[in-house]
Amino acid sequence: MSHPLIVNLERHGPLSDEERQVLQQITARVVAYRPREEIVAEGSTPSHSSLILEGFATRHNHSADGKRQITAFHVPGDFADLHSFLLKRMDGGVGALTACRVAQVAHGDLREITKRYPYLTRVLWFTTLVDGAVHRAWMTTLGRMAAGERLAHFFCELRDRLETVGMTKGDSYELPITQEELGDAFGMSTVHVNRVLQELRAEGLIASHGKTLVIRDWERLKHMGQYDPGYLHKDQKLERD
Amino acid sequence: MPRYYCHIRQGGQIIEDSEGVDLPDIDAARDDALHGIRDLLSEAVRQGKDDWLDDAIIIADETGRELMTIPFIEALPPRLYKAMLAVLSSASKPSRHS
Repeated sequence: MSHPLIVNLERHGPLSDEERQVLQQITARVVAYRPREEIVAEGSTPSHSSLILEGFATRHNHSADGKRQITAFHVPGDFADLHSFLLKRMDGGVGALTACRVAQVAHGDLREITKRYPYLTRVLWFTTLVDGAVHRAWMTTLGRMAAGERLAHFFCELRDRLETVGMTKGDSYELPITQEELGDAFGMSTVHVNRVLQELRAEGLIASHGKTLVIRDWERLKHMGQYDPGYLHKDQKLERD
Repeated sequence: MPRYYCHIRQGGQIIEDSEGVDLPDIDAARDDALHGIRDLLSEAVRQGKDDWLDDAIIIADETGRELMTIPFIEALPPRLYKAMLAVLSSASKPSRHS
Protein backbone atom coordinates (compact mmCIF):
# COMPACT_ATOMS: atom_id res chain seq x y z
CA MET A 1 0.00 0.00 0.00
CA SER A 2 1.26 3.49 -0.77
CA HIS A 3 2.16 5.69 2.17
CA PRO A 4 -0.99 7.50 3.36
CA LEU A 5 0.90 10.66 4.37
CA ILE A 6 2.49 10.91 0.93
CA VAL A 7 -0.91 10.31 -0.70
CA ASN A 8 -2.39 13.06 1.46
CA LEU A 9 0.36 15.59 0.82
CA GLU A 10 0.51 14.92 -2.94
CA ARG A 11 -3.09 16.13 -3.25
CA HIS A 12 -1.51 19.57 -3.00
CA GLY A 13 1.16 18.96 -5.63
CA PRO A 14 3.81 16.36 -6.48
CA LEU A 15 6.71 15.76 -4.10
CA SER A 16 10.27 15.22 -5.32
CA ASP A 17 11.88 11.79 -4.97
CA GLU A 18 14.06 13.17 -2.21
CA GLU A 19 11.06 14.56 -0.30
CA ARG A 20 9.21 11.26 -0.58
CA GLN A 21 12.28 9.45 0.63
CA VAL A 22 12.75 11.70 3.64
CA LEU A 23 9.08 11.21 4.59
CA GLN A 24 9.56 7.44 4.38
CA GLN A 25 12.64 7.72 6.60
CA ILE A 26 11.13 9.87 9.34
CA THR A 27 8.00 7.67 9.55
CA ALA A 28 9.88 4.38 9.75
CA ARG A 29 9.45 3.87 13.50
CA VAL A 30 6.02 2.25 13.78
CA VAL A 31 4.17 1.26 16.93
CA ALA A 32 1.00 -0.87 17.10
CA TYR A 33 -1.82 0.00 19.48
CA ARG A 34 -4.80 -2.01 20.62
CA PRO A 35 -8.34 -0.63 20.34
CA ARG A 36 -9.01 2.06 23.01
CA GLU A 37 -5.34 2.22 23.99
CA GLU A 38 -3.84 5.62 24.77
CA ILE A 39 -1.42 6.89 22.12
CA VAL A 40 -0.45 10.23 23.67
CA ALA A 41 -1.48 11.18 27.22
CA GLU A 42 -3.27 14.45 27.96
CA GLY A 43 -0.76 16.76 29.66
CA SER A 44 2.32 14.80 28.52
CA THR A 45 5.28 16.29 26.64
CA PRO A 46 6.08 13.86 23.83
CA SER A 47 9.35 14.00 21.91
CA HIS A 48 7.65 12.81 18.72
CA SER A 49 4.48 13.45 16.74
CA SER A 50 2.10 10.60 15.92
CA LEU A 51 1.12 9.88 12.32
CA ILE A 52 -1.77 7.44 11.85
CA LEU A 53 -0.82 4.78 9.27
CA GLU A 54 -3.70 2.37 9.90
CA GLY A 55 -6.84 2.56 12.01
CA PHE A 56 -8.94 5.32 13.54
CA ALA A 57 -7.81 7.56 16.39
CA THR A 58 -9.32 10.40 18.40
CA ARG A 59 -8.09 13.59 19.91
CA HIS A 60 -9.85 14.36 23.14
CA ASN A 61 -9.93 16.73 26.09
CA HIS A 62 -11.46 16.14 29.49
CA SER A 63 -13.33 18.78 31.47
CA ALA A 64 -12.18 19.29 35.06
CA ASP A 65 -15.08 17.13 36.27
CA GLY A 66 -13.97 14.27 34.04
CA LYS A 67 -16.28 14.48 31.04
CA ARG A 68 -14.71 13.61 27.71
CA GLN A 69 -15.00 15.81 24.64
CA ILE A 70 -13.71 14.21 21.45
CA THR A 71 -12.24 17.08 19.44
CA ALA A 72 -11.19 15.17 16.32
CA PHE A 73 -11.36 11.81 14.60
CA HIS A 74 -8.17 10.92 12.75
CA VAL A 75 -7.80 8.51 9.87
CA PRO A 76 -4.74 7.11 8.06
CA GLY A 77 -2.51 9.83 6.67
CA ASP A 78 -3.39 12.27 9.49
CA PHE A 79 -0.91 13.57 12.02
CA ALA A 80 -2.82 13.47 15.31
CA ASP A 81 -0.44 15.87 17.06
CA LEU A 82 1.94 17.57 14.67
CA HIS A 83 1.41 20.60 16.90
CA SER A 84 3.26 18.93 19.79
CA PHE A 85 6.50 19.67 17.88
CA LEU A 86 6.15 23.34 18.84
CA LEU A 87 3.50 23.41 21.58
CA LYS A 88 5.37 20.71 23.57
CA ARG A 89 2.87 20.03 26.34
CA MET A 90 -0.26 18.26 25.07
CA ASP A 91 -3.43 20.17 25.95
CA GLY A 92 -5.40 17.11 24.86
CA GLY A 93 -4.76 13.41 24.43
CA VAL A 94 -4.71 11.03 21.48
CA GLY A 95 -6.31 7.59 21.70
CA ALA A 96 -6.76 4.58 19.43
CA LEU A 97 -10.38 3.85 18.52
CA THR A 98 -9.51 0.69 16.63
CA ALA A 99 -6.28 -1.25 16.36
CA CYS A 100 -3.84 1.33 15.00
CA ARG A 101 -0.41 1.42 13.44
CA VAL A 102 1.21 4.74 14.24
CA ALA A 103 4.49 6.21 13.03
CA GLN A 104 6.33 8.12 15.73
CA VAL A 105 8.06 11.02 14.03
CA ALA A 106 10.83 12.45 16.17
CA HIS A 107 10.58 16.19 16.78
CA GLY A 108 14.29 16.36 15.92
CA ASP A 109 13.47 15.03 12.44
CA LEU A 110 10.70 17.61 12.03
CA ARG A 111 13.22 20.30 12.98
CA GLU A 112 15.57 19.03 10.25
CA ILE A 113 12.72 19.19 7.73
CA THR A 114 12.00 22.80 8.59
CA LYS A 115 15.71 23.59 8.04
CA ARG A 116 16.25 21.70 4.80
CA TYR A 117 12.91 21.22 3.03
CA PRO A 118 10.93 24.47 2.78
CA TYR A 119 8.21 22.99 0.54
CA LEU A 120 7.63 20.02 2.86
CA THR A 121 7.51 22.45 5.78
CA ARG A 122 4.75 24.43 4.09
CA VAL A 123 2.70 21.42 3.10
CA LEU A 124 2.91 19.98 6.65
CA TRP A 125 1.96 23.40 8.01
CA PHE A 126 -0.97 23.32 5.58
CA THR A 127 -2.25 20.08 7.18
CA THR A 128 -2.37 21.70 10.63
CA LEU A 129 -4.30 24.62 9.12
CA VAL A 130 -6.84 22.17 7.68
CA ASP A 131 -7.11 20.57 11.14
CA GLY A 132 -8.00 24.03 12.43
CA ALA A 133 -10.57 24.47 9.66
CA VAL A 134 -12.16 21.14 10.61
CA HIS A 135 -12.35 22.30 14.24
CA ARG A 136 -14.10 25.49 13.11
CA ALA A 137 -16.56 23.53 10.99
CA TRP A 138 -17.33 21.24 13.95
CA MET A 139 -17.71 24.24 16.25
CA THR A 140 -20.26 25.67 13.83
CA THR A 141 -22.26 22.45 13.73
CA LEU A 142 -22.06 22.13 17.54
CA GLY A 143 -23.16 25.67 18.19
CA ARG A 144 -25.66 26.23 15.44
CA MET A 145 -27.06 22.98 14.11
CA ALA A 146 -29.55 20.37 15.34
CA ALA A 147 -28.30 16.95 16.42
CA GLY A 148 -29.26 15.14 13.21
CA GLU A 149 -27.70 17.84 11.06
CA ARG A 150 -24.43 17.58 13.00
CA LEU A 151 -24.15 13.86 12.34
CA ALA A 152 -25.18 14.28 8.70
CA HIS A 153 -22.39 16.84 8.32
CA PHE A 154 -19.85 14.55 9.94
CA PHE A 155 -20.78 11.54 7.79
CA CYS A 156 -20.26 13.68 4.68
CA GLU A 157 -16.93 15.01 5.96
CA LEU A 158 -15.64 11.57 6.87
CA ARG A 159 -16.54 10.19 3.44
CA ASP A 160 -14.51 12.92 1.76
CA ARG A 161 -11.54 12.46 4.10
CA LEU A 162 -11.51 8.67 3.74
CA GLU A 163 -11.85 8.91 -0.03
CA THR A 164 -8.53 10.79 -0.17
CA VAL A 165 -6.69 7.81 1.30
CA GLY A 166 -8.64 5.19 -0.65
CA MET A 167 -10.77 3.97 2.25
CA THR A 168 -14.21 4.31 0.67
CA LYS A 169 -16.01 1.80 -1.52
CA GLY A 170 -18.38 3.80 -3.64
CA ASP A 171 -20.62 5.50 -1.13
CA SER A 172 -19.76 3.28 1.81
CA TYR A 173 -16.99 3.15 4.36
CA GLU A 174 -16.04 1.50 7.61
CA LEU A 175 -17.30 3.52 10.57
CA PRO A 176 -15.74 1.95 13.67
CA ILE A 177 -17.12 4.67 15.96
CA THR A 178 -19.61 3.77 18.70
CA GLN A 179 -22.71 5.78 19.57
CA GLU A 180 -21.03 6.78 22.82
CA GLU A 181 -18.03 8.18 20.92
CA LEU A 182 -20.23 10.02 18.43
CA GLY A 183 -22.06 11.47 21.42
CA ASP A 184 -18.80 12.60 23.04
CA ALA A 185 -17.78 14.29 19.81
CA PHE A 186 -21.05 16.00 18.97
CA GLY A 187 -22.45 16.89 22.37
CA MET A 188 -25.20 14.29 22.54
CA SER A 189 -26.20 11.43 24.83
CA THR A 190 -25.91 7.90 23.42
CA VAL A 191 -29.70 7.63 23.53
CA HIS A 192 -29.94 10.71 21.36
CA VAL A 193 -27.32 9.43 18.91
CA ASN A 194 -29.25 6.17 18.58
CA ARG A 195 -32.49 8.05 17.83
CA VAL A 196 -30.83 10.34 15.30
CA LEU A 197 -29.18 7.41 13.48
CA GLN A 198 -32.58 5.73 13.34
CA GLU A 199 -34.08 8.89 11.81
CA LEU A 200 -31.32 9.12 9.20
CA ARG A 201 -31.96 5.47 8.29
CA ALA A 202 -35.74 5.89 8.23
CA GLU A 203 -35.35 8.93 5.96
CA GLY A 204 -33.36 6.78 3.55
CA LEU A 205 -30.19 8.88 3.91
CA ILE A 206 -27.93 6.19 5.32
CA ALA A 207 -27.88 2.47 6.02
CA SER A 208 -25.57 0.58 8.31
CA HIS A 209 -24.45 -3.01 8.04
CA GLY A 210 -22.37 -3.87 11.09
CA LYS A 211 -19.54 -1.34 11.10
CA THR A 212 -20.12 -0.30 7.48
CA LEU A 213 -21.92 2.96 6.82
CA VAL A 214 -23.64 3.27 3.46
CA ILE A 215 -24.63 6.70 2.21
CA ARG A 216 -27.85 6.05 0.33
CA ASP A 217 -28.66 9.59 -0.68
CA TRP A 218 -25.56 11.79 -0.84
CA GLU A 219 -27.37 14.89 -2.06
CA ARG A 220 -29.99 14.85 0.68
CA LEU A 221 -27.44 13.99 3.38
CA LYS A 222 -25.29 16.92 2.23
CA HIS A 223 -28.30 19.18 2.23
CA MET A 224 -29.35 18.11 5.71
CA GLY A 225 -25.83 18.61 7.09
CA GLN A 226 -25.42 21.90 5.18
CA TYR A 227 -22.17 20.33 4.07
CA ASP A 228 -19.76 22.20 1.80
CA PRO A 229 -16.34 20.50 1.64
CA GLY A 230 -14.49 23.74 0.86
CA TYR A 231 -12.96 23.85 4.36
CA LEU A 232 -11.09 20.58 3.73
CA HIS A 233 -9.08 22.26 0.92
CA LYS A 234 -8.67 18.79 -0.52
CA ASP A 235 -7.20 19.59 -3.91
CA GLN A 236 -5.78 23.03 -3.25
CA LYS A 237 -2.37 23.27 -4.90
CA LEU A 238 0.62 24.72 -3.09
CA GLU A 239 3.27 26.69 -4.94
CA ARG A 240 6.78 25.36 -5.05
CA ASP A 241 9.78 27.72 -4.96
CA MET B 1 -19.12 -4.09 34.39
CA PRO B 2 -22.44 -5.26 32.99
CA ARG B 3 -23.67 -3.85 29.72
CA TYR B 4 -27.04 -2.12 29.56
CA TYR B 5 -29.09 -1.37 26.46
CA CYS B 6 -31.44 1.61 26.19
CA HIS B 7 -34.16 0.85 23.65
CA ILE B 8 -36.48 3.73 22.79
CA ARG B 9 -40.22 3.07 22.53
CA GLN B 10 -41.55 5.72 20.19
CA GLY B 11 -45.11 5.61 18.94
CA GLY B 12 -45.73 1.94 18.27
CA GLN B 13 -42.13 1.37 17.28
CA ILE B 14 -39.01 0.24 19.14
CA ILE B 15 -35.68 1.85 18.25
CA GLU B 16 -33.25 -0.80 19.28
CA ASP B 17 -29.95 0.02 20.95
CA SER B 18 -27.60 -2.52 19.43
CA GLU B 19 -24.44 -1.30 21.18
CA GLY B 20 -25.25 -0.72 24.84
CA VAL B 21 -23.06 0.95 27.44
CA ASP B 22 -20.97 -0.60 30.23
CA LEU B 23 -22.14 0.73 33.59
CA PRO B 24 -21.63 -0.38 37.20
CA ASP B 25 -25.29 -1.17 38.02
CA ILE B 26 -28.94 -0.59 37.16
CA ASP B 27 -29.00 2.71 39.08
CA ALA B 28 -26.25 4.03 36.84
CA ALA B 29 -28.16 2.72 33.81
CA ARG B 30 -31.28 4.56 35.01
CA ASP B 31 -29.31 7.80 35.45
CA ASP B 32 -27.86 7.34 31.97
CA ALA B 33 -31.33 6.78 30.51
CA LEU B 34 -32.75 9.85 32.31
CA HIS B 35 -29.85 11.92 30.97
CA GLY B 36 -30.60 10.60 27.48
CA ILE B 37 -34.30 11.39 27.73
CA ARG B 38 -33.58 14.95 28.94
CA ASP B 39 -31.22 15.38 26.00
CA LEU B 40 -33.95 14.25 23.58
CA LEU B 41 -36.60 16.40 25.32
CA SER B 42 -34.48 19.54 25.26
CA GLU B 43 -34.16 19.29 21.50
CA ALA B 44 -37.85 18.40 21.09
CA VAL B 45 -38.82 21.46 23.17
CA ARG B 46 -36.52 23.70 21.12
CA GLN B 47 -38.25 22.43 18.00
CA GLY B 48 -41.72 22.92 19.55
CA LYS B 49 -42.54 19.20 19.45
CA ASP B 50 -44.72 17.34 21.97
CA ASP B 51 -45.04 14.04 20.14
CA TRP B 52 -42.91 12.34 22.82
CA LEU B 53 -45.52 12.29 25.60
CA ASP B 54 -46.11 8.55 25.37
CA ASP B 55 -42.53 7.56 24.60
CA ALA B 56 -40.36 5.58 27.00
CA ILE B 57 -36.94 4.03 27.39
CA ILE B 58 -36.68 0.34 28.06
CA ILE B 59 -33.49 -0.72 29.80
CA ALA B 60 -32.45 -4.28 28.97
CA ASP B 61 -29.51 -6.44 29.92
CA GLU B 62 -27.21 -8.46 27.67
CA THR B 63 -29.62 -11.39 27.52
CA GLY B 64 -32.37 -9.09 26.22
CA ARG B 65 -34.28 -9.20 29.50
CA GLU B 66 -36.18 -5.96 30.12
CA LEU B 67 -35.15 -4.53 33.48
CA MET B 68 -36.93 -1.21 33.64
CA THR B 69 -39.23 1.05 31.62
CA ILE B 70 -38.88 4.79 32.08
CA PRO B 71 -41.61 6.95 30.55
CA PHE B 72 -40.15 10.15 29.06
CA ILE B 73 -42.33 12.30 31.32
CA GLU B 74 -40.53 10.87 34.36
CA ALA B 75 -37.44 12.77 33.26
CA LEU B 76 -39.23 16.12 33.60
CA PRO B 77 -38.43 18.36 36.59
CA PRO B 78 -40.71 17.42 39.59
CA ARG B 79 -43.45 20.06 39.30
CA LEU B 80 -43.73 19.63 35.54
CA TYR B 81 -43.93 15.88 35.99
CA LYS B 82 -46.84 16.24 38.47
CA ALA B 83 -48.60 18.67 36.18
CA MET B 84 -48.17 16.30 33.22
CA LEU B 85 -49.55 13.37 35.22
CA ALA B 86 -52.64 15.42 36.06
CA VAL B 87 -53.12 16.43 32.42
CA LEU B 88 -52.65 12.89 31.15
CA SER B 89 -55.00 11.32 33.70
CA SER B 90 -57.79 13.83 32.98
CA ALA B 91 -57.28 13.32 29.24
CA SER B 92 -57.66 9.55 29.62
CA LYS B 93 -61.01 9.79 31.51
CA PRO B 94 -64.01 9.26 29.22
CA SER B 95 -65.80 12.51 28.57
CA ARG B 96 -69.46 12.72 29.77
CA HIS B 97 -70.51 14.52 26.63
CA SER B 98 -69.32 11.92 24.15
